[in-house]
Amino acid sequence: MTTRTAMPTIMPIRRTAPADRLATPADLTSGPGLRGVTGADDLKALSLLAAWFSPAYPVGSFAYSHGLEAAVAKGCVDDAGSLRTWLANVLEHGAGWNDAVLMAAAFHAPGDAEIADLARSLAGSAERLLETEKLGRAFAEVTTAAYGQPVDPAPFPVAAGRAVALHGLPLLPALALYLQTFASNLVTAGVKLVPLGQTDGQRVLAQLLPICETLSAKAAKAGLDAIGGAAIRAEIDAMQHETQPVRLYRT
Amino acid sequence: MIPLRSHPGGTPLMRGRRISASVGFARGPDRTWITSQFTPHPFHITRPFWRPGDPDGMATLYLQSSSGGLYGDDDLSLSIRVGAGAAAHVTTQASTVVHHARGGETCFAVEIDAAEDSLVEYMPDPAILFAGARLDTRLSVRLEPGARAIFADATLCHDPAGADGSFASLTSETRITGPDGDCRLIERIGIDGAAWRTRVAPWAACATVYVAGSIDPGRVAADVQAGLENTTGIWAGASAFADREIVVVRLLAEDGAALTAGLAQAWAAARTALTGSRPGNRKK
Repeated sequence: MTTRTAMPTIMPIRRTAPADRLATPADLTSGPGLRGVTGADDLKALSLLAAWFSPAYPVGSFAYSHGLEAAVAKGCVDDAGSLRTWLANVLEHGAGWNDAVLMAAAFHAPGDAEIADLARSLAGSAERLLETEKLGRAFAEVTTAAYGQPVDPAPFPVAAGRAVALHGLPLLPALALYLQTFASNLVTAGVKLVPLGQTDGQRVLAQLLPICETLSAKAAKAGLDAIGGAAIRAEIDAMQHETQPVRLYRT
Repeated sequence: MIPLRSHPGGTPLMRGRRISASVGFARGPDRTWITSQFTPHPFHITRPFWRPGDPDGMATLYLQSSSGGLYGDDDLSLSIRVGAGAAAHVTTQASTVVHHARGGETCFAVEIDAAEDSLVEYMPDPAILFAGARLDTRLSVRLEPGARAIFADATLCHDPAGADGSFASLTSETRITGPDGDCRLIERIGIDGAAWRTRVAPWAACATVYVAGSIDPGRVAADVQAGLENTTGIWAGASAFADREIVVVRLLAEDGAALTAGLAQAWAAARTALTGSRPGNRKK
């Protein structure tokens, strides 16, 4: 195998000020603020969001690597640094950002079916489409069964945004937790695939959390026109995964 | 000159007169022939060739430009029609240079109609975007029952002044529709030169190859991926959309030579998967 292993350049990581991670911007349009969570309603909302976006929530997220497995197989991701670079690229320029914008859009317009169609069209490969639809369907089914309010199956960020709106939960922490879970699941996959030590994996996640914060704050105020990105190398990794001879992950 | 729309920066874009060309292929008793053509300046075509080892009776046509490239006031369209049972390979003599737009926008649209049981290959050499180029391309492929198509869209950039300048913008749309006009794929790209540098670097070029129609997408994707494994200087992946009989192949290349090699390998693997025969090397 003689293809290049160089990684694409990424935008510099923009670090937020060291503030309360659950602080909401002044112009959050709905839901209770969570700065210095004290109220019972705030705590209930936070508990619910933490449950929904927990790695233990049974949506099957452990089965999807978003193409990371192919990147590891090709030798492009082989240590903590390259894992962090790959994940930061996907968060800032790939599905991370687009999913956050879609989730916010679905939160503001839960009945708009075109947002789900847009989410599907943004999947750059067959496995990426499979991943978002399977996760979204599982999330919708579990959330409907456990929490009563019916959530229609849809690509994951859309189903999540609708559920958050239906339950009157705040958007910003939901976005942050969605992205954090996305990153955390892939860090876990990286720990297994590279492999890395657990502590190294947590160091990678710790470096990605500020990106999740920044993206969630931007996405909460962004419209669908803000969708876009170019994580071309990672998209190709997802494509390569389709024909990879040995696969532990579905994507 | 008709002002069309504004670049996001607010400057009105001007387009020149629309120039439309067309070429029609049809199956004869023993081979595919060109049965119609209208190729005004700057379009130019050669006579068709029939190459040994190609699918039965396939006509190969080289497109040329008599203007030395595309310019900022070009609004060009090309229609390719391949009749029932016919087979055509359409390519270019060389890469198309897209010059500095100088306040305009270069537009190039290709429409391909593949009739029943036809085989169409549209594999132009990559477009080279010079510094200041502003290119908008549209590629539309319509497939009748049994038709198959392999086609590509490839781009790299270059500054002839050696000043490392970027192109202004690249927008493209690729659309594949089925027999009933059902839209099976729409792919849109929009990027400016500065973003290209940060998002594509350290690669220098990018291309997409599509294989569509009456195909086995899983097998085609696997064969294309395998065919690209040993091509140096590229990073490529193939994705199969089984529900709509489409394979999308995406390539990044470190330079123009690697891009050309990657495209050739992807095309050869796709042709082999579709027809059972591998194409020979083609001189240009």
